[in-house]
Amino acid sequence: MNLYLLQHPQSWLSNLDGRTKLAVFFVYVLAVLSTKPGAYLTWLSLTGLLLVLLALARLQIRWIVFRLAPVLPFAALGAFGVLLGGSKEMFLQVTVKMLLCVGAAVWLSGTTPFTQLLEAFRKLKVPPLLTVMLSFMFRYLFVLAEEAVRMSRAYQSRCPRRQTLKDAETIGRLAGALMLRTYNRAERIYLAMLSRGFTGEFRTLSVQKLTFADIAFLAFFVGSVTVILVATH
Amino acid sequence: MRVREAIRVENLHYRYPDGTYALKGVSLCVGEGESVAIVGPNGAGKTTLLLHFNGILRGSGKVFVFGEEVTSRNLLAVRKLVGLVFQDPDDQLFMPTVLEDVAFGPLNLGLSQEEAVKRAINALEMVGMSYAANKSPHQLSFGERKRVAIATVLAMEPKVLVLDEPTANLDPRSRRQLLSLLRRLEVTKIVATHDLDAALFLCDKAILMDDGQIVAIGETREIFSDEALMEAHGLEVPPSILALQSRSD
Repeated sequence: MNLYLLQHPQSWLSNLDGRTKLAVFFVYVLAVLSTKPGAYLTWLSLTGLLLVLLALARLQIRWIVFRLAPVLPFAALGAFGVLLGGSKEMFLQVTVKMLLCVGAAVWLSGTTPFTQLLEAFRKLKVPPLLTVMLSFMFRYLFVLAEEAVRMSRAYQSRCPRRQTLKDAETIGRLAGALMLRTYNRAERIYLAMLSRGFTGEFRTLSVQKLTFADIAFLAFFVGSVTVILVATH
Repeated sequence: MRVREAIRVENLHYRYPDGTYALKGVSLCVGEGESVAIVGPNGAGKTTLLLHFNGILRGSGKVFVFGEEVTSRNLLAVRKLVGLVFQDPDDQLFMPTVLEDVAFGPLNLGLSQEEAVKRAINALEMVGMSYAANKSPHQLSFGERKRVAIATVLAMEPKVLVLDEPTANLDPRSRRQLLSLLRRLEVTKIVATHDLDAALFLCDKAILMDDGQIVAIGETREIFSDEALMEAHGLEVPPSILALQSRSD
């Protein structure tokens, strides 16, 4: 499992509440989406703001580029559209907005561990069903992936030849077996939860607290965005 | 003075929905403060029996916990008294971080946040895992996960600790650490295991099960030394006992 994807360098931002960082993210994305076509100065200022945020987070440049890479095929598709006679303005606008929004998401995921995000969601009254599902997914994705890897190794050890399309049936059966195992595991997890007094209501720890630093940071950030939007209008 | 009984089972039968007849009339009694090993071949019904001790499974027959019969009404009270540690720690640990997971049980008992955290940290210290409080379970080794799984139950401060295969898949050092940890705990213990040396180390009393029935109950060393009995039920006399016997011959 590539834990490289889950890197969270320590920075001043690490101590902020997940809710603050989530709010910063949404404010930024909304600001980017609200810009009109050809608002070059606004885009430039917003890019500067994002760079400041990324610098504060002490994220490695290599890591940022790595996380931004999945956007490139879409940008390429847009460029192809321009070749076919699409509008250049449109292409530029879509590409810039896409890069900035994904950049903000990269910032969020690089400063806020998933557990903090979940807690923030819970405190912002996101329906428990959703947060609990996300929480289980985060916990068992790795377990499931390891199980799949083990099964595939066992399969390949007994199938030392080049795989053809005919093997699809066997691989389908493997996937079915994996699903059954997952189902059984879910049952055992539930029994273990019952053993610990689970009654249906999900009670969780509250670890993070909003502090003065959170309010100050958020206020400063919203202020900067407003100034950028108004000044470059 | 008579020892208070912690768990008593009377004529327990259980059939799984798929028709497997797993328990065929099991009766036993475990006194408070005792350590009891449940041994027997695979498929003997050990795990099924354990799942009855805190009312996860409900067969026909009676289960008493500290004198009170387990009914659908007192399940929560029973689960407060009897803590169950599952074999695979990945089944037990489901929260994104260790601390949240260990605090899950105490929060379900209705404790406040501060109290739950205090209990969780305390339990993690007991198993020597406090350094991992903010880690995610998938970042821990199997042995570490196993110890955290035990902490999740200890944090609920149960009077009876029920463990399913506590030493399975552990390397010798982790196994040794876990066994001495378990021996230090002063609660009633019921341990289902294939690790006969662990059973000898932890438990004075042993229950031998086969095919859904209890075959023998008695002093651990005595049962384990009975070669004919052990081999008839898919087990063997542990080498440690054999060594002692050959020395005394």
